[in-house]
Amino acid sequence: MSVAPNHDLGSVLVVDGGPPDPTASAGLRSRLDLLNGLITLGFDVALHTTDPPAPSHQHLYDALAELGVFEFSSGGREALVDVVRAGSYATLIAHGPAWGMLSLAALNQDPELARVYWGHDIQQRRRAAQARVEGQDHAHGIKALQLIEERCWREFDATVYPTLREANIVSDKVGAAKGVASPYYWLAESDITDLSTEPEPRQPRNQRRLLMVGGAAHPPNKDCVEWTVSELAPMLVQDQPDLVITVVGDWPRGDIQRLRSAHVEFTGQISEGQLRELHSDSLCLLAPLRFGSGSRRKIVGAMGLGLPVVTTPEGQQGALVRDGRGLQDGLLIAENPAGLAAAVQSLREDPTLARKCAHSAQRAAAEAYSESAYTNGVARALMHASRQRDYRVAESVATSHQTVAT
Amino acid sequence: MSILDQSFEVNSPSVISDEVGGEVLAIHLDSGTYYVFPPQTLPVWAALGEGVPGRLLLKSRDNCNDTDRDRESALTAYLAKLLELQLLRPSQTVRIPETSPVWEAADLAVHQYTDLADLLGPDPIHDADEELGWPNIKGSGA
Repeated sequence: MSVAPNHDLGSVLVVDGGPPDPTASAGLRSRLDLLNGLITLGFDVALHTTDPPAPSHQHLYDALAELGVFEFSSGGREALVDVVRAGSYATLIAHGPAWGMLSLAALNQDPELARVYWGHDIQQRRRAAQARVEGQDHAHGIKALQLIEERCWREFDATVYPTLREANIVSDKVGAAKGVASPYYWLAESDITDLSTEPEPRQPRNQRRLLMVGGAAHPPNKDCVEWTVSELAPMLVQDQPDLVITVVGDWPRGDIQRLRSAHVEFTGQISEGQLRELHSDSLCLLAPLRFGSGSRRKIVGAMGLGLPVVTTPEGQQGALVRDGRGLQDGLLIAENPAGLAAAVQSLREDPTLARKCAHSAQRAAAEAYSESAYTNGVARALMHASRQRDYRVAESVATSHQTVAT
Repeated sequence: MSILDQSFEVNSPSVISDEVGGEVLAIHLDSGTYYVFPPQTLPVWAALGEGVPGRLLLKSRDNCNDTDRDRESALTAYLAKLLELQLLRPSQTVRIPETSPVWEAADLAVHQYTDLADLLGPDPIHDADEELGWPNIKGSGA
């Protein structure tokens, strides 16, 4: 369902590092989703980037202009201050701690500006979990992230995260209802398989394949695959010796040589079409994540295509705006290798379970990430920021009157 | 005029500072460098950042091992360091503390870290990885 544009809503200035390239990462795709969502809702959208325009990015700027982004600017903190001072924006949205931090000085240029911090994930928590798993000590770096994120939570009128759990952490921490949850991804109609037309029971063409999606550059993915190879795969193939784990994404040659076996294969980067083909040719998505935060596109994407997901409690978090609930969302969840192996085996041996998971996952993903769910989420977030802005301005006026009176 | 007779304030908005887990951190947003003040330095940093002239912080406690000269010399050097790092800037506001914080010359420290850019740089969850949920056509030739 599309939303009729309404150009009376005012203009939104989005602050980011560069023009989002949707082919580069799930996070950048989500940034483009946000621009698209704002424009669909009828906002006039301007983009300020810290990176100056580069010739290699011209196609991205052209695409954004084609999408409807009406104004572009670039530069550091002082440049952003000038842009805000000279413009007449109703709302400023800053992406993540780096650009939230950069925007702090600009916020004071216009008290009427509704300020939205688009958090993506709570980085201090992700870093802390990563340090625990890897046995490293990044205590001071994590504290620095905490300082920045919590400063953003306080200074912005609303902070948006992909899950209610994260939004509640914000509201609890800053003592005001500043946290808002909004779908992180916008699944197009083509991203959501209509399973009602599929023959029952649903049987993947290849019951031997377990699909893993993730490149080595992302620490949670690297840990996930390495842990699978060392801990989970031996248990899986013990009872199901014909299983093959197919890992999609960029991996260094050395890692591939170290990790691959008769039961573990690497495809490297493949096209979207090829990946979709693998989704319909696999028993399930295997995502035994041990740390991370935010919302994982691979899990959401698999759910939308009706592929059952076998994951850990860590993967369950962020699977949907309200967090995944397990079987009723098509997620099979286990904490340890034995439990994960049993989940895979049950999917293989029980077509009814596989069908139920596929339908439940597809329904949950469609409900959470459809166009209407996405745009409604963005609209709610901006309305929330606008209300919080009104409280802030009223409080400021009241405080100044009090000061004059005394 | 001696640096100890001047008042200062935190160099905001370039610098943000707060207590996190028992330590005070200050982040210089222009450089991305962050600084950690050990717990025992906290009251001195807080007083200096609120406009208390260093001279008013020199009073020693009874069992302090520092000589007056040690304290004056250490605080002078410390203030100069904070100004050099652009964590503080001169202020017109002078505050008089109700009580003088307890500190010793050896307490005055600030530790510098430069890995924030690595922490903040690419978002490793969503921006640094190439998995992108739906791997792209880039380089695949497909």
